[in-house]
Amino acid sequence: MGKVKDTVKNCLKFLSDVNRGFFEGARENSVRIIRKDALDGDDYFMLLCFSDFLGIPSPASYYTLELLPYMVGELEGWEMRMADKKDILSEQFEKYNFH
Amino acid sequence: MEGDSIMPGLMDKEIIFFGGKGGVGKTTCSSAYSLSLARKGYKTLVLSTDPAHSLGQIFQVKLGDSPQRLDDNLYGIEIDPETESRRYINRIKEQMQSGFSANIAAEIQRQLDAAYHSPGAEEAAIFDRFIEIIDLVGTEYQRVVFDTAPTGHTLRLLSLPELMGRWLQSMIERRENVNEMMKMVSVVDKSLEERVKDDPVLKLLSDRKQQFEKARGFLVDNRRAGFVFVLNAQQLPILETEKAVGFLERNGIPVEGIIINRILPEKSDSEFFRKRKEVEDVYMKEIEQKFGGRILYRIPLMEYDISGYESIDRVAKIFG
Repeated sequence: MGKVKDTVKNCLKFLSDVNRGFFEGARENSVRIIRKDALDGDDYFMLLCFSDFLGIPSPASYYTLELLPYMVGELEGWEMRMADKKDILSEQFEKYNFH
Repeated sequence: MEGDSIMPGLMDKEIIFFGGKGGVGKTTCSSAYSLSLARKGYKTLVLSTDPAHSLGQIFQVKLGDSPQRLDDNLYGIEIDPETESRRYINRIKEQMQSGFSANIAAEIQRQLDAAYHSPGAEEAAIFDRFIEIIDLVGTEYQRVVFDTAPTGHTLRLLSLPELMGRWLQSMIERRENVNEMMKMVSVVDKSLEERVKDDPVLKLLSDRKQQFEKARGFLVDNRRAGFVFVLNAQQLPILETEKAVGFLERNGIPVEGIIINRILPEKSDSEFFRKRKEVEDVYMKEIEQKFGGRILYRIPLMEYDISGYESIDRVAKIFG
């Protein structure tokens, strides 16, 4: 009787571990994807605001200048990332773990 | 010879823009009209948005960025885009904290200095001042008269709120979208929490959008604002005015009517002027045809330059 109980217990524990592992993994993965999307979105936002800095004229550049004091901290990293973008496709693949 | 004034209500409008092709007499008409308003007891501000100002010259007073008294109840401003943008850029510089790398600091300096000459900067600067002045209507001043730059420049200026409004809207949506994602991630990554909370960038964008909406609201409100075109009985001013009226109406900006300036006298001893008058008659007919019911005033060609108080006054009397 006790043996059956143990087996059932072990089975349940195994299932719950698989369950937790699966969902936690999935959660970690989705957080990572959203995080990457958010940071990318931020980069594109910067691009719309300060394309002038990269030599692309923008009709709204006069008005985006007033955003500069609040975004200047991100400017350096952004410029480096923009200069570094070699392959947009591989970046997207990386996001979903296709290496 | 007095012009026939019609159209009740023009002087009830709080803001009137005078527009038209370069050299048709916008400044003459807007100064005389302002003087006429001031005489009626309205506290009036007349201001020039033309970077090549002539308002001060006509009043023979040096005008600048802050209101200068021209007469009882009458004040004048010449908007200087460069002063405006310097004020704007200096404000940005003050808000800028220090502490970033020398590389970035130099680049920011370069960008800010280049901003004076960036495309659209002049209009944006003039427009910012325009928004400030709108706030004074009904409180500081009862009437505001704009002596605008030649047509193309002014139409670009007036289409700014719509253009920028659309652009701002898409920026705001983008920012909100990113902030939303960051909020989700901030559950695990606390470093992003700061960024999402009271995002100043979003606030600035929304404030700008509100300003543009307010300006736009004013421009299209035919109870408060209107546009008057000045033209001469000549081919090019007629064509340009026709185009501009169409543009404004398509954009919902009310056009009050037109003023025909520098009409030649009926009688002349000189053969030359009789011939000129015949040519003018053809164009006068064309104006009647095209703008008929919208002709507000007819102003004769004067035997002297419109410069100085006396001569403005004579034109002002035509406005009643």
